[in-house]
Amino acid sequence: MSSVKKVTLKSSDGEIFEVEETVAMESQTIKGLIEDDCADNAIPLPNVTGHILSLVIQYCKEHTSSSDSNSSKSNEKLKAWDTQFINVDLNVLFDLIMAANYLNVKGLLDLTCQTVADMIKEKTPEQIRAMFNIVNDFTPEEEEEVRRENAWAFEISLKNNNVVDTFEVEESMAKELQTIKNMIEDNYTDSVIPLHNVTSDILELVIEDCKKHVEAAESESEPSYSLASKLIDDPLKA
Amino acid sequence: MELDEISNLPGHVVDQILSQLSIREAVRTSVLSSKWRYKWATLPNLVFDNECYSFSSLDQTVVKSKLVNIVDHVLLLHNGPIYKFKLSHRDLQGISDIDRWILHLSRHSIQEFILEIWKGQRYKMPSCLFSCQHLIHLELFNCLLKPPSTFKGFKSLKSLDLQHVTLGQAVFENLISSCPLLERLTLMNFDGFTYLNIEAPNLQFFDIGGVFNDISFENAFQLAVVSIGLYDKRQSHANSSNLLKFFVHLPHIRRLEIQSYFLKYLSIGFVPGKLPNPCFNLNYLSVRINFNDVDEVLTALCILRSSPNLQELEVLARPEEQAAVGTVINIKEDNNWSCHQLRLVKILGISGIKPELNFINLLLSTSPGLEKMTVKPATNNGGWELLKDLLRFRRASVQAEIIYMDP
Repeated sequence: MSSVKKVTLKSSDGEIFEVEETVAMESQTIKGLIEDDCADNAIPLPNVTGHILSLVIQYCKEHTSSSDSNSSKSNEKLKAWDTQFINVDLNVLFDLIMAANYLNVKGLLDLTCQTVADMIKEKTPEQIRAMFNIVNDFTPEEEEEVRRENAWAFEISLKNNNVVDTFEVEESMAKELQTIKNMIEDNYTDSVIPLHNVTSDILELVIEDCKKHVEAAESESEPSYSLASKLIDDPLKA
Repeated sequence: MELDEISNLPGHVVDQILSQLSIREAVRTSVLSSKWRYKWATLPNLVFDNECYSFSSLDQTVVKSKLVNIVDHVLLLHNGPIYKFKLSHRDLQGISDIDRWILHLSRHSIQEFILEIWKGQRYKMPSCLFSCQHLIHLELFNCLLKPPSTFKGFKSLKSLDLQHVTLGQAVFENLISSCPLLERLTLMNFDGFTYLNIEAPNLQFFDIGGVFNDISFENAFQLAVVSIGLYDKRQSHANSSNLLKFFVHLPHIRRLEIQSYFLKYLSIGFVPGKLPNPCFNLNYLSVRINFNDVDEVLTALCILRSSPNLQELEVLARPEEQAAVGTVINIKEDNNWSCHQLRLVKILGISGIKPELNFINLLLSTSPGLEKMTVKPATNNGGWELLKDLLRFRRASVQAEIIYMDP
């Protein structure tokens, strides 16, 4: 019985890993080095720490052994393993992305990017910024300009219960209404917000009113409250 | 202060992340920070489908104008090459705006173009589509193709998927033969042409379902996976042997599906006991068969005898009109023939008639390596009789499991 061919990998912080050649070749980068005969000694990987490299190796091990069988059962198990594997802290996730990119491990890059995309899905900009520590460096005018530039993506539809009439409303206006503001912030970003207690006529009035409020706020004049707007904030009465 | 790692990821990684979001959510990232304002604008893949925007209004004109507005908007703000463009919205009818979008794409090195017109008439593709020389994958649903006379083919096209399309006979032949790199061809529910003369030296995958008179593979020797469904049972009797003509040009065939009435087509003309050149590479066969038709049964047997390396077989019985009543097909046991590699067999939709039982009996007695045979009748009538017969059959394989499934 011949011994399995192994390669030696060295992380940025000096940790040594002995890995089967087939497992290491999940990384196209390492595969290239092996095929070019540069892998006799330890392969230095200055961009990957020991901790991350051990995770990448774990991933590659799991995915090499499963590449032989094509049954759906093992695909399900593999997916479950992936889900468990990728349940890591955010900074580890990003380190894995960078490592998968540098080492060119397609499956791992796909998995990590999909995970980040899933974190962005259906979140408001405020929530996304909070999650990823993104600093909002727009001035209010700049932010307004961006929202206007891509108005279609920031519109929210309000519709009444009968799906008869819908009103396309700019987000900042919709936020004038406390209820809707809460719905938006509670993640109701499906672009259509149903308002069960309000008929079209009232809704039309309310929106007109909100428009005036927003315009008034911009021109710094005294806003006047109308009955319709009070009704919206108290859903029982409308 | 925690690091903002996501904003500093390499461009193609951000592209990959944003590609997993709907176009609407990707565009919404523009407001996150000044760095993010145009990250979405370099996305190489643009998909406009039912997820991109949920239209609250059911008014057709409103939906249409909104969709046009979104695509125009995105294309205008987009920056850089566009590799993939998919337009498939359930409310999309053939609107003339599509023409100018394709023109825009033709100027941006489009490689993958997918257009699905869910409603309305066949949409006539504009001539600018035919100047997209970087196309690698083209997928059209409910379209009409009439290329200009200057069209010399798609030199880079590897994959073509046409469903519910109209194109003329000459257009079809010219299209196939002028795409030298074509590897995958799917044709479903087409009209305008009835003769399929396939000249594609690199073709490996071929999937077709529709109405045609004749099919031949003049120059398609790489074909490995073939699935053919002939939806019409009227046959023309022009050839001396459809079966021989079909198989003579498929030496490398690995997977074959014979669906609808295609077996009937193959049974026309001379059917030998065995093909002159065995299908050495065929390891999967699925065939829809009318067990009441003697010719069809003999054709199926011919194929089986000519496939020494067949591993998986699926047989779908077509409960046809009870044609030749009383015709008993005497399948003689041929001691020269044995399906050594056959492991899995599925027999579905049978009714328990004699030809079916003979066939199953024959399979069981000639497959020493059989692991599992699944039998599923069409109805519960005569289920018991069928089971009793199955029980009696001798099996060449000691480990063969016969699984009877309720219909």
